[in-house]
Amino acid sequence: MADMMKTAASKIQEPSFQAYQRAFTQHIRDPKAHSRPPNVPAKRMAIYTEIVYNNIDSTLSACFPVAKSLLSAKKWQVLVRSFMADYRASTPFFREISQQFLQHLAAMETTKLKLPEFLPSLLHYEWVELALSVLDVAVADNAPQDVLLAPLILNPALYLLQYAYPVHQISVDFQPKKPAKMPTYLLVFRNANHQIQFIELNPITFQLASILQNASLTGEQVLQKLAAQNPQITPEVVLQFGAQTLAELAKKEVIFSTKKAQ
Amino acid sequence: MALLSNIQGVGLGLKRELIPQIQTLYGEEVIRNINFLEIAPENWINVGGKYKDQLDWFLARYPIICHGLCLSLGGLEPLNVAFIKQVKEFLRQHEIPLYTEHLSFCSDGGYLYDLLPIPFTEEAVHYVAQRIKQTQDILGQQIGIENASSYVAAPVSEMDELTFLKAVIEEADCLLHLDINNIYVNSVNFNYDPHLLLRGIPSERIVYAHVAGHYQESPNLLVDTHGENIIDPVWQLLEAAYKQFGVFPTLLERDLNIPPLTTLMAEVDKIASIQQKYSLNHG
Repeated sequence: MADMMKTAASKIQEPSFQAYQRAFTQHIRDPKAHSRPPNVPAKRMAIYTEIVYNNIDSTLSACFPVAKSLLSAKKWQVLVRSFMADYRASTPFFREISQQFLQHLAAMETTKLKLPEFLPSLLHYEWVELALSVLDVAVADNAPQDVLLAPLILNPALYLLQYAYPVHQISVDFQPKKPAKMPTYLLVFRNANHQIQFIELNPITFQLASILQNASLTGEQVLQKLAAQNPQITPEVVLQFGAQTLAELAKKEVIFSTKKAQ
Repeated sequence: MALLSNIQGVGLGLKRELIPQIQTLYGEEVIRNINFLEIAPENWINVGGKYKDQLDWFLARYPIICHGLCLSLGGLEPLNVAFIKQVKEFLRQHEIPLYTEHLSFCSDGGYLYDLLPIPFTEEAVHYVAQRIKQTQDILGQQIGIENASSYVAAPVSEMDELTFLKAVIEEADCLLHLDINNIYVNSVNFNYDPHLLLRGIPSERIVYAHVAGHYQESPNLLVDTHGENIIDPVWQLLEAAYKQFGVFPTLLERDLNIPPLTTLMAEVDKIASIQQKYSLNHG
């Protein structure tokens, strides 16, 4: 209560330059809801409303090219404008604008917009590429000599993803109305050359990668766990399939050894 | 690379588009006049992958200055102290000697990611100067403040731009990051003589300068895009500044419609030749 009164008091005492600044930014955020500050020429003010909008729009457009291409210009504009008007971005880092946009959309009431049901999944999938390209972790290049005996770890610049829609196939020509029967499993990662790579996984490979995500184990231990999780498959098949898969994943720089090769 | 005295001659804003070109031409005669580079800390703090490799490559080869965008010295909420500490760590880690920011604001309780004008009032002088001092206290070093461009004159302003700029710098005891193009842009937008303003600049505070091109929206409205070539009146203003104050390090900003580096070098070289003309050694 004391805090609230303090806030109210400080609002009243806001100096004239700050009251002006606030009117200025409120108009930039939402020109329809807030008129520009008194005695400011419309043409001059429009420069600011345009550059601020265009800057945020171009940042989001660069991160979400597929999602943007599927929405009408009007709907995209409603989303960007809503982000500006109703969200208060808390990070000074430009690369984090897109993530904040996702947070805003998750909380936003969008029923009236009739957005595609897959949109949140698609946006997240598109964001992952940006997130991985700037993620501040070193990708080691310790290729395991023997995938069964070496202690393994997943590439630290990696997302193991599961979506209800085949987000990697969505385009103007393919816009599913309903979730697929099976989830889509994707592995997106940054290799040692800093390139972002995408692999679609089958359910059992997804399980294998999930086991490694939660613990550093030798290949043999991973496959034993995988076999235990899949009693319907004979252990020999799991081992044979698993060893091959581990070797392929190592080759693609999805998994590394925790130990330097001798 | 840690000394401010290493910042000499001509600099270039390090845009992503220019990175591979500078790397390819490094050591060659054609880019010999690039003596230092400027980066926005917001784009490089805690960034990994290929960007980290690029940063390391440039840090090993060029003196680098941090020129920030989101400190929001005139912002409506308290300064982002956590961010300033990240900047401090970044400067320390990479031995970057200087951090400069704009005399503007970019947040009202949330970031808007653009440079917005602070009204020129007495209260604003004290408010901004206090925030500059707070920043300098955290960093343990002086920062440079750039005179910002603007398109709207706040009706609540109580003084002219030069009076405001000088009062803030004096009260905060900070450095001046002089933007020559911004003086010109504002002189057209608000109808004053840019040379008159230049003469009043506290030259002893200048740490380095910016020059850039701008976009002419209409005869009396220029937009500070950094997307065109530098026009003659801005060159003349730079020359006048060297003539009055002596030569200072000067950096070319080019953020839009970026031509090939070899083309851009014509402007870098021109800065170098004007500097040579007014350099005391060649007096």
